[in-house]
Amino acid sequence: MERDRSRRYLRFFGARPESDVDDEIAFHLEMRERELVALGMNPDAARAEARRRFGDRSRLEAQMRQLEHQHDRTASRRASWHTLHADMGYVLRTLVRQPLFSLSVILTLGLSIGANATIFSAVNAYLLKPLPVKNADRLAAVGLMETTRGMIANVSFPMYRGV
Amino acid sequence: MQSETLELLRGTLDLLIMRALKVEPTHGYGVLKWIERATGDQLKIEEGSLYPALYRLQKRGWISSEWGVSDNNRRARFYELTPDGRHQLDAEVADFVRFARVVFQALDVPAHSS
Repeated sequence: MERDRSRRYLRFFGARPESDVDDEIAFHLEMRERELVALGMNPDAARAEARRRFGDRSRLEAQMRQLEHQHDRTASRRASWHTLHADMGYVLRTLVRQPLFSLSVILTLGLSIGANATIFSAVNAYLLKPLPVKNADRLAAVGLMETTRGMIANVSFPMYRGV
Repeated sequence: MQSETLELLRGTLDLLIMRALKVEPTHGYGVLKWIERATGDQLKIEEGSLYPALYRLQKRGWISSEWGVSDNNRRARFYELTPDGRHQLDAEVADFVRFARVVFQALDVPAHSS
């Protein structure tokens, strides 16, 4: 009795396929025993007969545990999908109920994502990606230099050749 | 000569289990007893195939289970047919009847001899 009660609370921490399978088989055997006793068999013989009819208990137990375990996994997956679905519904209903708020949220998010994407693509093209030419590291700029001020003007390649 | 009990055809056990649960939610033992009664003790159902079948049906979502208290005040696992299971049962019964008719026809035996 005491054991039963503590077990009930343990269930809050998830199903335990082992003891569930155990309990289910124990219940089955007990019912069979009662039936046989009711038919006039003596209790010891009934117990033995119930076990004999049940067959290979440990093999069946292992099989049941495995099936139970698989079922628990799919059940919890199904439950979390269900929660997600319910949450999405709740969010959508809330947004529809407060259109002004929704609009400002959508605009804010839209603009900031847009701005971010624009700036990133510029930075990406100018600074991060290598120039789209062969031997980009050997590229040079040609220009006019003054000894005191450094480079003062860019010069185009045809002009450089002309010089 | 007829043997004492008939071996179960593949797939029929699932059908019988779901049919038993259509009557009322019950535990594994109750399902076994229902099938024995409903078939006049002519079918041999083994625990070794009953319980795995129950678990498999549950995994497919056709039956569900819950711990409850049995008639004699014992903690027992009760199985129940789900709405999906109800549809599945109807479909499988229809299939089985069709299947049986075809086999009877091929064997050239009227469906209600025995």
